[in-house]
Amino acid sequence: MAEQRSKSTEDTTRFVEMVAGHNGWEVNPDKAFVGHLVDGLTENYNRYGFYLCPCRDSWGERTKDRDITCPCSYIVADQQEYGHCFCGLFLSSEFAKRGEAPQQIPERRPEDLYPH
Amino acid sequence: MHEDGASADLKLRLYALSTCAFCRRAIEFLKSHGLAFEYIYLDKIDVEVKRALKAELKEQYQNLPVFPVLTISDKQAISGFREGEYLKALGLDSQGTA
Repeated sequence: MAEQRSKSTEDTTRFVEMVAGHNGWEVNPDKAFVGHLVDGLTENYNRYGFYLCPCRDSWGERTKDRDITCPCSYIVADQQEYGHCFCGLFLSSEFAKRGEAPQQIPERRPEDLYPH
Repeated sequence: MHEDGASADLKLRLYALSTCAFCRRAIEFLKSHGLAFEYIYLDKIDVEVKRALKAELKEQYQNLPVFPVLTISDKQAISGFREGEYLKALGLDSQGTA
């Protein structure tokens, strides 16, 4: 089996920009905040082999954490209600236009999907 | 890990993820207010120890752990970082320092 190539922060930055562009979202303009999330996503990719959400602690297994693999399954609902994703990484265009800073929001992922 | 600071009358412990930007914000907030606190990165410890800690938190505070979780003197837990909530819970909202 071929060894999985690790990701660099540059790889992850390209991934984040691509995801935002593809979906019509904006990346949080706070560079320091986003830099920390990019570092976290990169670390999670290199730990688990996929972009596990850096703001949640879960199984670290691709099949069990499919819903919280970035971009997560809750992002559209979170953007509709709060204007941004759980991590504050991807903003809706309307939220971005208002120039507000993302605040931490409640968890939408059902509790029974987390390890017990 | 431990950060020195004032406010020895409050025992502050932060359960955080090293990868989470709001966790970083919480740490910066506590440091910027000169508070002494302990913090632990749950994603950097043994999985079984982590699960035990999370179970303890859940049993003691009955809330879904959104990280960071700040416990105050083993009596109160704040799940998630919102500056206004931290200011109020730590008695910083009127006088500026604890």
